[in-house]
Amino acid sequence: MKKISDEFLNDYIDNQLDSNSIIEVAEALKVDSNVLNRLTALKKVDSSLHDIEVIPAPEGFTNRIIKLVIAQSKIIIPRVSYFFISVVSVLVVGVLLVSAVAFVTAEKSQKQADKISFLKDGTQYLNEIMSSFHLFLSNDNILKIGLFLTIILLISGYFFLESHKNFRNKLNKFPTT
Amino acid sequence: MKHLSDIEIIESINRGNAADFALIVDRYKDKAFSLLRRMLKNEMDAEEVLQDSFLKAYKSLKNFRQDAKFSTWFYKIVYNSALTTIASKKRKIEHAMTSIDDEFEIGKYDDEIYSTAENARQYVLKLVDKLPLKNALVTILFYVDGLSLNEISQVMGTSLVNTKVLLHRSRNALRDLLLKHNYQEEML
Repeated sequence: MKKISDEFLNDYIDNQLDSNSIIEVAEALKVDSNVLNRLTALKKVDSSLHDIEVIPAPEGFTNRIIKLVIAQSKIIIPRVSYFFISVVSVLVVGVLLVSAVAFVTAEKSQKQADKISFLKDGTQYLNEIMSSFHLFLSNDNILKIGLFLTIILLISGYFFLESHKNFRNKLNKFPTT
Repeated sequence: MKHLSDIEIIESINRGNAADFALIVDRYKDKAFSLLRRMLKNEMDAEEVLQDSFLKAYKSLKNFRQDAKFSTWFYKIVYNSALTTIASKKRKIEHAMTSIDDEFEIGKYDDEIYSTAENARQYVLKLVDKLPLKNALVTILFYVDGLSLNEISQVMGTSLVNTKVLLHRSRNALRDLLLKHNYQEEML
């Protein structure tokens, strides 16, 4: 019969043997008390080692680490809010667009006024400017752009409030001691 | 609360939620501290190295390749930090880290431990701390931290075969002492 080595027995308790080897061990256990003793003792060692004591880390260790980590984060990682950068960019583009449309509309209105009469007094001129302004406000494109900007402002306001709320919750959850 | 995996926590930290690192610290601090206490034989050194290991891990999280297991990666940091401390303090332990052929000297502690142990289990557990350092480390990483032999070999930078030999020798040495003291009756 094949001699059952210590390595073989160690592999046996670690379930590392194939089925033929397991049969060999089982047969050896029936006839050889030495193998039985060695395996029983090895199993006892194995089961005892599963109870090795876990020594707890000192109290307050996690908080100390997190304080150091947060301090490092503040120094190393300046967080960039890409959302707010995008919103501001859209608003700036929107304002430029409105100004451009206003300029073109006002110029056209002025030319039309010039064709009607060259001799207008100050009051008439003021009236024309007022009517240009009225024309500007009644322009469909201006209304659409204004509506679009208002929607963007409302959405960004909502996300800003949500972000603030999340940040406040995170601060509340963060351990203070 | 939902049990988050290590990878999910790391993704959250990398998105900027630094405070989530507390979940990782809570998950690993006790087991890593147990390992360090046994390696360094000193509570203050163990705490210092543990802190250093967590900070190193945090700083390197962005470089952590998520196809590997976080535990293996983290224990490697812990193990190497402990070795650096041992080397810097020029302890004699350094000598014990060089080979797997270290002599088992647990026999010389046997009488003392045998006289104070109440049963076979307690006797075995007290002897673990008297194993040669590498053997003790493999044993603790295997039984306490639940790492596989393959993961332990990655942590310690040894071959899989050598890691297996270290574990088997530790068990065999402990088993021989159990047999020497006729603990069979209790075991059967």
